[in-house]
Amino acid sequence: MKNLTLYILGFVLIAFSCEKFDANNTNTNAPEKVNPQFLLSNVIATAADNQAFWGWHAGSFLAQHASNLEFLPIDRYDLGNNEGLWNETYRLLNDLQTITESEQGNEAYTAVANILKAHQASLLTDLWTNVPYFEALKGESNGIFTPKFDSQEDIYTAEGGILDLLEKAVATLKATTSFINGDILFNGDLQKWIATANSLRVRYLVRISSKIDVSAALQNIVDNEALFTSNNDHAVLPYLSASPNQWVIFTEREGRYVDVRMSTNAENILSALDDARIQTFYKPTVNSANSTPVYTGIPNGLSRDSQNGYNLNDVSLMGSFLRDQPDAVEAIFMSYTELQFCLAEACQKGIISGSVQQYYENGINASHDFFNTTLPAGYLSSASVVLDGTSDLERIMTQKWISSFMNGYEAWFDIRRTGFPILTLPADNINGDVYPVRYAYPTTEQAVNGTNYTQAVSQIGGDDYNSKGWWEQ
Amino acid sequence: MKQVVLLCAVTFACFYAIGQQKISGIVSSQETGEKLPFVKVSIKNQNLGTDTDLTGAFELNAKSSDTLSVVTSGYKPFYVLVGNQLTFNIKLISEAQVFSEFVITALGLKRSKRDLGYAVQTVKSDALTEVRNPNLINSLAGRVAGVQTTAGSSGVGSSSRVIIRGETSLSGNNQPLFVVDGVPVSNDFIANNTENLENDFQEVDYGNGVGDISPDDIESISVLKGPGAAALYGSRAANGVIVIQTKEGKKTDGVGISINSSVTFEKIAFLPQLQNRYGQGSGGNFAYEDGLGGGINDGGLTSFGAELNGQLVTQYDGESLDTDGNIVRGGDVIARNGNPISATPFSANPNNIESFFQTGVTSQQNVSLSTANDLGSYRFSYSRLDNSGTIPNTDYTRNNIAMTANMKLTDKLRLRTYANFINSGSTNRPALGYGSENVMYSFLWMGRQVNLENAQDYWQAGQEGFQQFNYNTQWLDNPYFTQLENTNGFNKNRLLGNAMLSYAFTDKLSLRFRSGIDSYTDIRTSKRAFSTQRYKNGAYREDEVNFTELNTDLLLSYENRIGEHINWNSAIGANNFTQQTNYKSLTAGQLSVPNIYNFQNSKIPLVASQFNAQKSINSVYGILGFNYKRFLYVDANVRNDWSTTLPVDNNSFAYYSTSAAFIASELWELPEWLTYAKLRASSSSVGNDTDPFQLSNTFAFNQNYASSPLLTNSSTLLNADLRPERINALEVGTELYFLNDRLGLDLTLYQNTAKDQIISLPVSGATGYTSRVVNGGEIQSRGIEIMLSADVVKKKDFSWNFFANFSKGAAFVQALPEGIDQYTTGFARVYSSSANTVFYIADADGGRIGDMYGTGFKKTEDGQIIYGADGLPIRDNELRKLGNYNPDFIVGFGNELKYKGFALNFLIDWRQGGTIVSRTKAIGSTSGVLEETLEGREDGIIGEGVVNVGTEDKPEYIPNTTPVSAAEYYNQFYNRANEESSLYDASYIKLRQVGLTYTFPDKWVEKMKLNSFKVGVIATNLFTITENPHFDPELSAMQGTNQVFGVEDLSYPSSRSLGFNVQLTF
Repeated sequence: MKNLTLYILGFVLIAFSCEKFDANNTNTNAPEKVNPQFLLSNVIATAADNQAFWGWHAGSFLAQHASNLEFLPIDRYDLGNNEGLWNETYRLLNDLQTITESEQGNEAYTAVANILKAHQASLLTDLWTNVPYFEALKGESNGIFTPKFDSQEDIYTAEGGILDLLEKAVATLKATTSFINGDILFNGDLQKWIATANSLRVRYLVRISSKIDVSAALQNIVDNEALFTSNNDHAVLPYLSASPNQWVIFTEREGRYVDVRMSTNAENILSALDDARIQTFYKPTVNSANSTPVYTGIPNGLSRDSQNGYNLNDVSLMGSFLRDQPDAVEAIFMSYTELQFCLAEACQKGIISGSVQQYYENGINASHDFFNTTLPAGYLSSASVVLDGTSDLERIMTQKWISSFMNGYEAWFDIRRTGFPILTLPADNINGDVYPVRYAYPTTEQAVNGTNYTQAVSQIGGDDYNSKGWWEQ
Repeated sequence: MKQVVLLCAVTFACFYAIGQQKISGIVSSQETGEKLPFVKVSIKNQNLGTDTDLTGAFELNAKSSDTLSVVTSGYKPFYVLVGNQLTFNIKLISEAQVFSEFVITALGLKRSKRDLGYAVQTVKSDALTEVRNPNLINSLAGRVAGVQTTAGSSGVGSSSRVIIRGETSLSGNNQPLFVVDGVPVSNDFIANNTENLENDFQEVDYGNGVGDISPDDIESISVLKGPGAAALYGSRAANGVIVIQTKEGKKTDGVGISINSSVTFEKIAFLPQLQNRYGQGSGGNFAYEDGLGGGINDGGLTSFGAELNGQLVTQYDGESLDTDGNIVRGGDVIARNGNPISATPFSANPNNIESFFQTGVTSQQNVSLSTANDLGSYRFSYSRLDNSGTIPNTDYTRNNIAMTANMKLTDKLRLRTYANFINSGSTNRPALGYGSENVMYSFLWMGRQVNLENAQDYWQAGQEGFQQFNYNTQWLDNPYFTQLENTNGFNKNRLLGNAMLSYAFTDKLSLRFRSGIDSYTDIRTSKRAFSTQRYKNGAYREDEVNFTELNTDLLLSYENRIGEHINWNSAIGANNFTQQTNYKSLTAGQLSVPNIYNFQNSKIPLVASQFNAQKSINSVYGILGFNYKRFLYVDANVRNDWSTTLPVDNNSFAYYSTSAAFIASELWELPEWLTYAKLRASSSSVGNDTDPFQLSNTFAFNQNYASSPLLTNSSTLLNADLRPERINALEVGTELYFLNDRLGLDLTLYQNTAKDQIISLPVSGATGYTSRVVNGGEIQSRGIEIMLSADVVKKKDFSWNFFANFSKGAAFVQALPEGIDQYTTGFARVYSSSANTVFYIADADGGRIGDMYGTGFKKTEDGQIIYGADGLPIRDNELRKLGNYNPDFIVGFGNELKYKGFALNFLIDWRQGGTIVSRTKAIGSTSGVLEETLEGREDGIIGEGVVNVGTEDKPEYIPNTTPVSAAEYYNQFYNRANEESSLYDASYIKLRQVGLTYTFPDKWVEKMKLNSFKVGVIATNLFTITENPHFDPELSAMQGTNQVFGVEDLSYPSSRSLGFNVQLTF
């Protein structure tokens, strides 16, 4: 009888110890390895979307293209820490790192990944000042789960930093015979990536030009390197008519649109210039809709109480292309317009040689073209536009500011750097009447990377919105 | 609680004989039929005697004039004159309830509670069926020491969570294993993969698995609290086991029919306390034009407008004319086409929210047939539950068909089968969490002047199906529109069943084979109408969960005795567990035609997501138990598991557990008042595996850009070097009964040490990941549980007994993993927004599990809030401790009074301590609808605190004297990025349930040709004492796919219920 039992037991155990036991834990829902093209597509699409999304939700208020009525406290300089963007950006950097390490990759993939990496890294350091960079993304490989924060200067200028990555990427792409797939920005045209890298180098060299002498490097790029030549070859990714690639405000709650209005500052600047782009960027007020269109803003950062004197039917909404169409917005990595204004600024400051006027006019022309707005006759020569030698930098920066409408955070970085255009501090700001220059660090860093966080906070002079980074000190 | 009826069933004939003769017999338990070994059988007043052997048999020489005495502890002494009878079949009657209590322990083995070396507590069917709680888990509240239950806030059908002995696991699961008739069943809570975003479907609670089981089919629920008790169930039992025994057929004449019918009515309790003096607007101004900012402040959400004095103001429900001159409402914006609205009185509508809710009705019906004969027993039961919720157009229905058969196929072969088919479903479950799909969100942002009744006709004139009618078009959905159009239904079919064959080779050797299945398909459909805030063009979504779990085991048992006094038993067995979960979801984010909810109607490409996972565990185990003279019991178990979820070379882990019970009252003569004394101790070490697919990373699909696929690194870094978790547990306890068992005390001390826990730790985003899976450090939890029971009065017509239980425990960090200075085990958020985050952090310096951190105000060293020159409090980015969400202690207190046929029972539940962060408080204060925001409306508010008139480095503080408007003050003080200002103490005392039943006397019942007849009035949640005026602190919140703790996230009002119950058998 006992033998019988043992047989049964043995039988059952054999039945249990299925050969596929270990294969049971193979995740067949998603791949463990992918071709780098899918990661590249992801980084381009997501980074572009971030750029545009944050242009609407944050950059436009900090640059005072728009005002907020109620629910975006950033307009009252309650900036928060934007941990979502922080995490997302590092995740994209992780994707880029995967591309460079991929067995199916090649030097062209690596170079393009490094261009995008430089772009994302500048966003991080310009938003948060000192951030983990050289020790970032090394958890898996080196067991570094509490990365040190690096100085903004090193992130821009050290080996492996932003400028180094871009320069080397250009060199690689010029020489390579490899090609890339999944390039939803340029469809694999590496020449356009070279122009993008060089144009970004111009942007970043100008950005740090008050700290170090960038003159030779910049002049060399202008003289010898390929740059964007028009709105047709710059780094801009359109939204699409079909979901899920629609512009976010097209699908958002009504409130997310009507809560955002034209800023008084924008009204003042654009009206003074008699600028046609006002009609594109904003809607006429409700009360003027059936007569002569009137464009009126509301001051930035008013408390609900302070808005009581305003009839919203006399305050302009944001332009129709930002709400009524899914695909009218284009997300900007780096535009031809911006390149022209960067060069104009560099010329004006004597960093490079060349015609300020030419760059300046190229920029204004390209911006009108980009926003599908006809340049009014006589605009370039009008008294408040023309460079007459009295306030040229302010005029260049003002035109650049207009052209940076909805271009993420770029206008904010420029204002922090040059002080132009001159803004009005929100009356009800809660930042002690100081123009903010950074986000607070994500609270998760305090929670999980406390030692390095504390060190970084003491290096930058406090985890508030007012600790300036290296290039703007 | 049942009093054992004295019954005697000895069969003998009364003949006299002379001289000694050999007599023999068998002693067994009247109640269970269990043969009783070691019972002293002797001739009364003589020293002659013997003990029964393992099979309860005895032999003795006696004269016919002798009186046989059968005495053992726990049973009433039994005396019988020998006469000329030669064989005796003696059935002993247990002495008191406590000793008759049998519990189902590991592997479905039935053990007498007195023998066990660890703490077990049982809830009997009466407690479940008199005041029938639709969710079984809620029936445990207040009844079992060391057990903490939390109900979801969406009414009947919500998920309830149960935690035994606090949280030992950091992974946040902590749910005990549920076992039905010895076979594990799923209590999983598989939520839709929503992400708590601003433009996505909100969370919906579709219930926890065990909530599907009908209380009417349950014979008993035993709670095995420690890992020691549970070791034999394997890794999933590390958090304790809840063992459910289903009812079997009972012996009756013919077929026994029992009917249990109850209907309860639910009314909401705990609505936020609202102000009724000021209406919508700002600075006293308001006029409705289009609810979108076109009037004055009519797109705004705050109630800092004018006093509600009946002054004439244009409102959303005021009269207007359409272009054809027909009367329409102000909010019929499209039909009005700009025509003016007649102004109507601007008055308070104090009951506008309360009147939105309705009386819920829950009907629970059960009929069961049962029979038993010599060949077996059979039971068939049908239960139906119908609920219509307190929130309009929410419901829940459940049908259970259960069959149990216990058959004696041959003398040696027995078969027991159990099958339960369950269909549950709902046409609409309310959306949870923060956002426009939750009507509480609409209410907390709604102006106090709104006459909500006029929103019932929720389409704009001439826009049916296309455009909703609402008081605020900018941010909110009309609550009626939300409830009636935007539904979240589900339909779930589940089969639970098992079959067990047991074969007794001999009296001592038996083999048992058992296999059980738990399989369900849950299809959830979410509909969104055109003009919904989140879905302008409507949307349709289907989520499907397919789940199957199989458990098969084989157990060979052998028992024997060594010498005269030692009885031993042993068993070896093997188990195979396989679980398969398939989840898929499809979404049409925009529809072409309104009111058609299927995928063909999708205007845009469908969004799909899918996840399949499987897991297996193979196990072998062995049991060895000894008992010596019925006063010393020692048990030892070993088990080894092989789990597919762990790395191949590290996937085997063993368990050990030993326990001992020493019944002092059996060995020694104790004072008369101490009737029974037992000491018990157990020690165990159990292993644990993890979820499937935690070893190597995969790339996640993002949605395509045009036709280009996007893939990305996942946000969690997995770990190929995981080791099994280990929990070491120690437990000591005592059970004491006094004064003839009238008073009982059960005391337990426990300590659980969890090492190497597999946890997904949040990690610096700069690593490219937001969390990583690791084997964690060491967490130790300790606690005490005390249970007290008393028969205060025990008369023929009147009795009163009560029970009380007390539990207190906490878990602390003992060691952290390499390179980490504190554990951040998770967080709770609003809209996944980082600014509104509550972190769960346990630091190395004695940090307690459940500590919550968040941001708050800048303060002076002596704790005063620092204000800016503008009179507003200054917030900073620094994390500070907000409190701990776990209670300090829990007390349950129950009473039963019986007078003749009447029985009154009530249960009080007291939870002391714990902190809760309230979103209702934050939002309701910002919006100015909460009662306490009346303060400072006219003259402004001077915040209590100081202003720094010195410098940053050399501060000089003077009291703040700058007044700010109430609107501005509340807006900033209760800023959602500042969790510190919205804390409440989560303590409460609840009168959880009251039941008054009347059992008709037998005489009447017989006349009615019935067996028994009982009627009752039942009530639950009658009153609560708590410090917070706005919500029920007991409810849990749901964010993303998880239930979160210590956070109240616009929970629905809980309800109190009153109802009637009829039970009859015939």
